[in-house]
Amino acid sequence: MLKLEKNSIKETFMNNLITYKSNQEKDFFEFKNISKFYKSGKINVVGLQNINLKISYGDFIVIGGISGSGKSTLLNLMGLIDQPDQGDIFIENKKINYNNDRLTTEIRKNKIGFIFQNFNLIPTLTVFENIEYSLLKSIKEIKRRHLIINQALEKVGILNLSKRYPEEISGGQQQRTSIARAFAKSPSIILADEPTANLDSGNGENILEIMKTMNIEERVTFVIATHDSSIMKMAKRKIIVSDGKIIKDTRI
Amino acid sequence: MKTLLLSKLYGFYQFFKLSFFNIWRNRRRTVITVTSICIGTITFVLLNGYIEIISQGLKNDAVMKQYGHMQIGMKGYFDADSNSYHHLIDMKKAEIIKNEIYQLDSVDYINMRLHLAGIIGNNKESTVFLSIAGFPDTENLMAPTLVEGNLLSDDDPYGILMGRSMATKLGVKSGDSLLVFVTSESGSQEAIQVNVRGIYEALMKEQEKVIIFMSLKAGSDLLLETKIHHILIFFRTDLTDKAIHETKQKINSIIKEKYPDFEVKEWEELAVFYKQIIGLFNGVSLVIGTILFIVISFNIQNTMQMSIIERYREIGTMRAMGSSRLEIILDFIGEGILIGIIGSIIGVVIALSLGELLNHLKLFLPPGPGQDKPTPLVFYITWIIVFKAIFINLVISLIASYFPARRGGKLKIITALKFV
Repeated sequence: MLKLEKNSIKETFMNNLITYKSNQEKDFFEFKNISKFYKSGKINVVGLQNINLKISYGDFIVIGGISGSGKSTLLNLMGLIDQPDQGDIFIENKKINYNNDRLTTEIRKNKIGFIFQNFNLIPTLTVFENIEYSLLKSIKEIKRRHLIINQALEKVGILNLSKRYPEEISGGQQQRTSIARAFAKSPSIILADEPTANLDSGNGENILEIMKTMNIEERVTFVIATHDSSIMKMAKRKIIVSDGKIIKDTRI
Repeated sequence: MKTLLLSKLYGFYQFFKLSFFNIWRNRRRTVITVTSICIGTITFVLLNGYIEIISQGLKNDAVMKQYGHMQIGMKGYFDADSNSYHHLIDMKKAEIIKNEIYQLDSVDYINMRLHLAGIIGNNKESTVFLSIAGFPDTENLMAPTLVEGNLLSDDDPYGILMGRSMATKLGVKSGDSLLVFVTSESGSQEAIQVNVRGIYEALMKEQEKVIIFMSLKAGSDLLLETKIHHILIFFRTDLTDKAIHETKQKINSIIKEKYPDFEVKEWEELAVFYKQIIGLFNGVSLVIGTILFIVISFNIQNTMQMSIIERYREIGTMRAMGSSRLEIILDFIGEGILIGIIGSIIGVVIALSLGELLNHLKLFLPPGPGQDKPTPLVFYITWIIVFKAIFINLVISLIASYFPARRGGKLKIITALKFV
């Protein structure tokens, strides 16, 4: 009887491992011929042009390029907070239909985490509540939700600040909160737009260290848009964008 | 199940906590909006409290002093001139009907009235009058307030009650004698000598100038016949609405089945003046209420609009994190409703306290048209008025915050996130 149970546990573990490995080999994102245009007065400005890109699970990707090159646009399209003018985006091999707001909302809620340059925390909520707000609908059980939030706060090293309001903590601590918020919902991918731009070098390094650790230990996929060369050095894959085109895509 | 319920309650707590903190962010603006809701609520509650006491007073006066709960008369009487001799009821027939109606437990007492018109005067002055003649014992239950003398009495069948204005005009006081002239049913001119037993005051000066009360004995002497115009039925005052309704149905069916020449009217059908006054007050209340609530609505809408514009980036963040359009709309509607609830509750509390204080101070308003006494400023604030005020505020908060909230929910995420 005991042997049978042991076998069953072993079998389940092996199945999970196979699923995990197959997930690792799958692409999370696929961009097919993506173009995006902006209007500047009466002139059409190219944001992105004919982008073809695949992003796999567990990657640590840094998108570089000068200001206005299109890296943020690329990140916004990945996060489904903007939509392309041409081409198709696939998430887990499913084509995204932008007319289906419910579907894109669900994907953002369950699969994508965001880290913003300006942290974008809700000033009327405490650090703890800022994270909880994004989990209220997806994790109904209070105890489990609170456990996950505490774990996320511990991971970014600000568990002791959970009852503080954003205005009562430093920029670095706010960005840690923002990372904890993105991480707590166990997304498939975390998108970070210039996460260190508003931080001093010391805080910036700490933030990057946290993200790198999460990527290694938790296998969280990160896509970071930046023109900070120190972040570039940490990337597993570097994508350089210029004038709306990918001019370099290298795996290190 | 318990965990799910706790989670829901916690969700509500979080929702209202967030709403409260959000509306408290711009305190000055919120305080101004809440104040405007408060002022609107106070005005609405006090105005309706004042109308309520007036309408209750008028209703009580109409039922107990003028019409009774129901009246029975010959078919066509209620559409004709009340003094017309065409629809007189023979006293014997009237007594039969009275006795049958009296069998009903819910009937308290029954009066019978005869109406006459003529001239009253002495050797110095005379004036026209409209007389109400009834049995003194039941007529006295309906009598207006006396300022002098005594009520009608069976022992003094030719004693009358006269209005203060008529007494002043004729220069008489209680105890003085007068002559009354009327044209009888047969067309002859009849006169009797009466004495002023009492002088009354009425709400309307016009009533004091014209109406006199006398016994049915005196009325019959003038008419040369023992007849009446109509029967007035009074219900017990402790009846429920259901019992009143059932009694009315019973009386209607008795008259319909046994006395086809007669018809029954309820007091609401007869009290034209009451209906006009209440209609006027309700109209005033509706107009003032509408203006107040439009102002409140604009205030809430403006506050929510400003709040949404200030929080564009926050909306973008929430949407990016996975909040749906509906959740964003509900968040902002929640804030609008919370403002409405706070304003309503404070407004109602102030209105109740202010009403109580003003009642205690016993203030008066100037006399109304046709009146010579100042009107007491009294408020009777019922729970219905309170709930109506809160309900209207909630509906207005909901509607006023919906449109800005919808605009917030429709925002493109990328536009909202880039908003500075």
